[in-house]
Amino acid sequence: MSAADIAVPEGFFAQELHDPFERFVGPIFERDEDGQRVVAFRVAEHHLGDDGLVHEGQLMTFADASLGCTAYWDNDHTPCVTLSMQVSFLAFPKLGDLVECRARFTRKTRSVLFVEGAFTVNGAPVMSATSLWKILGSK
Amino acid sequence: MTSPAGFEQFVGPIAYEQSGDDTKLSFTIADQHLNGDGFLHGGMMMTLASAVLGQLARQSAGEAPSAPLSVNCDFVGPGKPGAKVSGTAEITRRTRSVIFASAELRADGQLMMTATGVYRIGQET
Repeated sequence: MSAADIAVPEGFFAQELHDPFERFVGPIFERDEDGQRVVAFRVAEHHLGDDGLVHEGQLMTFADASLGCTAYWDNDHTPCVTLSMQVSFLAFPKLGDLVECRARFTRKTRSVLFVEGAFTVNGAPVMSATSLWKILGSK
Repeated sequence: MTSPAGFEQFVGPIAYEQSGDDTKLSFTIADQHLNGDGFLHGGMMMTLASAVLGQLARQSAGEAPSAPLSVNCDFVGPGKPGAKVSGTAEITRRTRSVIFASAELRADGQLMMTATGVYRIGQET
């Protein structure tokens, strides 16, 4: 299953990705859940490490992309870059799993955004992440 | 020594270079690694960081399985297209059940990312 073959899950739409690396590793899906943005990816063959589990690099790439959605889209589309990302791995998703992220701001200052996310598969926690983002153009 | 397969082969390929007990992982920044601003995407930086930390944890765990519990990455500097990115890691502490490791990523010699990881040794209980 290559990136282009991954079907859009029911109820989601495929995000228009502007970062070549995100397009390269595979589609990212989104849906609205009572005002909460839910961002998701489907685990495909090329996301697996040689141990058959999802490579943590793919999980962290998805964390960067999904927490970045909140940092950018939910902050008036203000450009920002990742300063720091902390990820805890609670369980490793399997081939075919749909990994969902629900993110929120924990704090916003003039120059830095604090964003945390909870990641689940079928409602069960698989990962948690906290992150810091620098607002570009701020001092 | 682990050879890159799966995701690391797909996104890199990431090259493994062994010198004594130390392993250096590297790749050259190509078009598919970039973000929308034309610099190395943070996800690819963290992929190399987790790869170099994970291979050291596997090496340190020996016969026992190891798995990441937590990885923290700080984005210290950018990576420009065409730059060679290399990552090295060292063990900070090892207990019976847990490995602490830290890593440094450089792009053409300039510090780009510092990272730490905590790894479990043995099966989940």
